[in-house]
Amino acid sequence: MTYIVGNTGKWEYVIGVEVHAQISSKSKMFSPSSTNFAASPNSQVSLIDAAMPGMLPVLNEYCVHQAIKTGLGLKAKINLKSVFDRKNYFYPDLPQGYQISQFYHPIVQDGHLNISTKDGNKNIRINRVHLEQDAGKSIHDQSPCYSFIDLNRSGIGLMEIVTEPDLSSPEETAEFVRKLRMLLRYIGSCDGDMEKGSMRCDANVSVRQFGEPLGTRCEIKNINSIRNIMRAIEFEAIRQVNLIENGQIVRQETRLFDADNGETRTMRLKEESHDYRYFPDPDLLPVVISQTLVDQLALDLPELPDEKIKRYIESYGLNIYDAEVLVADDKIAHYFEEGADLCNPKILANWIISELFGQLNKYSIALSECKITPKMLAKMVKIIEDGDISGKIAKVVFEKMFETGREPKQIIEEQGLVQVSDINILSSIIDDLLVNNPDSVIAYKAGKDKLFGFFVGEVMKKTQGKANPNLVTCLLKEKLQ
Amino acid sequence: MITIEEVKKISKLTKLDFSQEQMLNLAGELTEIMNMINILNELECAEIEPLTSVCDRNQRLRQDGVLSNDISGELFTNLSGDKAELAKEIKCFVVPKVVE
Amino acid sequence: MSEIIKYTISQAVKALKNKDFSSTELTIAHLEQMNKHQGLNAYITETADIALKRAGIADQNYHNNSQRLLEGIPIAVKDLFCTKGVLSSAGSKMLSNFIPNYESTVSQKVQDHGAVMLGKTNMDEFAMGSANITSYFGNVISPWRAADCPEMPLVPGGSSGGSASAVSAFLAMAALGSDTGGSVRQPASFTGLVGFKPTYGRCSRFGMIAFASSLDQAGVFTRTVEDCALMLESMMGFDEKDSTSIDFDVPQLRTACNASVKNMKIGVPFDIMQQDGIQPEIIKMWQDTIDILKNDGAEIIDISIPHSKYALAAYYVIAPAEASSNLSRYDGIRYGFRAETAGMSIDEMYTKTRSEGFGSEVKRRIMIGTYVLSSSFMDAYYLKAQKIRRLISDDFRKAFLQVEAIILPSTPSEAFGINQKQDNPVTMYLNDLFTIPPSLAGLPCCSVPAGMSSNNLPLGMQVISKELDEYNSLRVAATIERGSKNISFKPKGF
Repeated sequence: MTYIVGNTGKWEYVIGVEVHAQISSKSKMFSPSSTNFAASPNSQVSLIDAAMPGMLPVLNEYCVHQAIKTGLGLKAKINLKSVFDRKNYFYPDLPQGYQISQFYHPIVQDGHLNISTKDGNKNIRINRVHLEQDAGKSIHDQSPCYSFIDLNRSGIGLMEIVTEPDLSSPEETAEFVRKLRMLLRYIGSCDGDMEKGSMRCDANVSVRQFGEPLGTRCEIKNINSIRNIMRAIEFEAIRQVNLIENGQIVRQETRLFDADNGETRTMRLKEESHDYRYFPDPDLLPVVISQTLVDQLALDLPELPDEKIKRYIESYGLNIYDAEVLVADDKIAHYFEEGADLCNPKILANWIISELFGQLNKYSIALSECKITPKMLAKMVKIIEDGDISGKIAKVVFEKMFETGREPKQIIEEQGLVQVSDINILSSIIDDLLVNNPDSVIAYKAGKDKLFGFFVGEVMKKTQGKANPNLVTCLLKEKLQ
Repeated sequence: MITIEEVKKISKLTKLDFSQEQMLNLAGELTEIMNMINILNELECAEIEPLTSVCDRNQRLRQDGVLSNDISGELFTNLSGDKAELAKEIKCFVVPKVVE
Repeated sequence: MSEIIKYTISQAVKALKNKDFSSTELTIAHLEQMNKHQGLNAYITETADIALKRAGIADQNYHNNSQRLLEGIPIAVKDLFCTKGVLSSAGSKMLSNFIPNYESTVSQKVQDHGAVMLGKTNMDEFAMGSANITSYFGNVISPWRAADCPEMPLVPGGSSGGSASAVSAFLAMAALGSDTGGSVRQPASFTGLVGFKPTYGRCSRFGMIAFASSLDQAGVFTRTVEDCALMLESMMGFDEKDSTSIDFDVPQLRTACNASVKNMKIGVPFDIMQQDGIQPEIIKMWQDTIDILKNDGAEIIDISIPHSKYALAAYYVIAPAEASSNLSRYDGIRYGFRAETAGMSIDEMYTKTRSEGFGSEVKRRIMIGTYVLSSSFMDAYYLKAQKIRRLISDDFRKAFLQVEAIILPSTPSEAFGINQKQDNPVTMYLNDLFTIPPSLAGLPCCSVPAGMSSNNLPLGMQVISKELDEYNSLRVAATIERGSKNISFKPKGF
């Protein structure tokens, strides 16, 4: 358990999150304008998005499907009948003066997501997933007197994913968001790009001492990265502990996270209107879906992360850490699987994680642009397994593959990198070496163990690094007895 | 009885401003209206399902697809006030600065 | 030539085909009539240029024998419908400068059938009212005068007062209106016209400035039932841009006008007829109507809508609630009236814009709507009203197991003076007493002139039929029309 150590004792974190995930549809949820991350303001706004008089919403099927698939991925209950409600409040980036959301009857309820924490596996309960419209963007910092409103984002479909307050530390929360993001990417319902804002996270934070009832919670908004989730929660929890320990009350309020100074502060405008007067939107009818559709969508789901990790551990013998790294991005997992049956999967995993990632990062290349195909990498691994090249030489081959995209066998032959494993040749080189360095031999036999490395090094030099290191070691040991 | 306090509260929620005298009148008028509406209390209706729409149908779903293009040229033609020109120029709606 | 404005649509179409006169001549005659009667204030915007242009096209089409259903027929459009390039104000200061660059589906449809738009008619602000005395553009006056007090201007009814006044004063051959709680039927009754509200969902609400979304329907004013059938055929139809639009074929309605009601079972809620407070003249008209229908072979059956006494209350919860939300978009930010002074905060701008842009009846209803939706009262009022709505809907459903149409008066009284009935908002709301129950149930209803008061003012009868059964309400209305043909429903002096 993670605690805050206050003046009066240990304090628990009690955290729930609300994630707003933009749905990967081409058009908005209730209007046929584009959802692209656009360059020029108000260029993707239809009359419906601008809430012109007489405009009406029509529901995008794709958005409904994505919510169902997300619900299935979260092992939740899919409500075959759900209803859109209006959430009424005034804000300049909300053209209608209400947001179309789902309050009373959301499309998905009661799911869960497993995360791994330092104390083991933990089940985080999902209260609901519902569909709602995104608002436009308000730009406050371009002018001292005015705010500018861009409605490009207004009306984009969102899935709001709400957890129970099951998270007990900033790290757990970060892990949950990471896991959720990975799941959404696998399902394809959201691209999870927090930088672009297609996935946003609000945190509800309260603190309590062990055994005490739940404290008052504050909602923190405006968190745009996983790192900031941790910073925001950390600051807020400590702020609350300090307040309480100083005899003050935590006020239930919405606070904004300031990424520059790592603090949360009260949000003035939204404090007033808490009565949203939710009522069913009379421009829309109940969303009724069939169990057949749900079953069909379930079949369409790809293998989800947890299942994949399990399979990598069981079928490929990977350890959990490597499995998790590979699975974190489904393109990488796909890459791995393309080669995993052609060579030792554990070694392949290692090459991908340590070497491939390293090279991709170094040259800022995406996996899709990489010249090394999975099959090529697998072939190289096989060559190592067969003993034709050493691990060290393999690194050279690998770099050449990365640069040129040539097959490993080609590179090895052209550069004459085949490992020397001929015992006779190696023996002869070693014999020569030992004869030419009698003092070192005597010194070694007298106890200077470090000289072994010198002998190995010399053999390597003589063979341009191509000698099979294990054989060299064996032979040297024999001959030095 | 709708009090002036309640009138004040509702008017804040819905962004309407009234003078003291108007609020007094409104409190009276709204009370009259609510008195008429209170006949609804005669019925219990616990078991009845609320009727949101007379349409005995379900929501039709539209195929995902972009049909509306850049109409930013048309969005600003009905602006009034002295910010209208600025808004048309920067293609953003202009409001007094919002303080969060 | 000025007599041609007295033609019905059917007569005019025949005459135009016959080249008795041209569409342009017909349009000009109407424009002249409009000029003569500016005092009625029926129109907010007159669109002479557009009208003449379309009349020209109509003449071409008649020449080529490619005329459409309503080719060249001059009509008026309630200012609630967004019309491309033409002011669409909803009778409000809030939209007094709003020129949409899109067209409502219904006004587009009638245009596509060849109709010629003369202008946009005056109305109660945001369709809230039953006397057309809340418009930013001033009151509409009815062309009718009471026999005992001819100097007193009368209301045409509301909210579609301008449309009603226009058609009854021959300023248009038909007019589009909207009906939420009676806004077509009640003014039709007051002005001696046929007024029709189709089944909820039959006409698209796309481009109709929203008042109460689950109740609003486009409707129409005509001088005969046959004209009404023609107009409805062109207005109704599925629209994929409206989620509440019905995907059902538009039936051929004109034949309903010649169909007898022989053997038809027609329901009368005698319990309502026996209530206190209904004017004797209304009762007489009701009884006369029953006789007309019986004479034509219909069977009159006593039915009951037991929960109708709660309808007014339920309506005045649901409609303002939906309106309070629908009108939240009027904030001056993207269009419409904007009240802004230097140094104002965003909150002040919202409040000043809305307080100055909306009239007092609209504000009253927004306040009621906000109140009944607020968290403390949600269950007691909004949810309760929705339950009553289901009960009323079920009452009608049960009644329609026994009968094919129901008749009851459109209004509890004749038209009243413009300055009367202003003491208490509830008194005004009582005008909708008879029209509200079928509105809540979304049923098609026709108001047809069926009698005259002792003051020589018209009284209307409402014919309600089953969901999607516009045919039968027209059928019964046409029979009533035939039975009342000895009464002239033309205002004196017109």
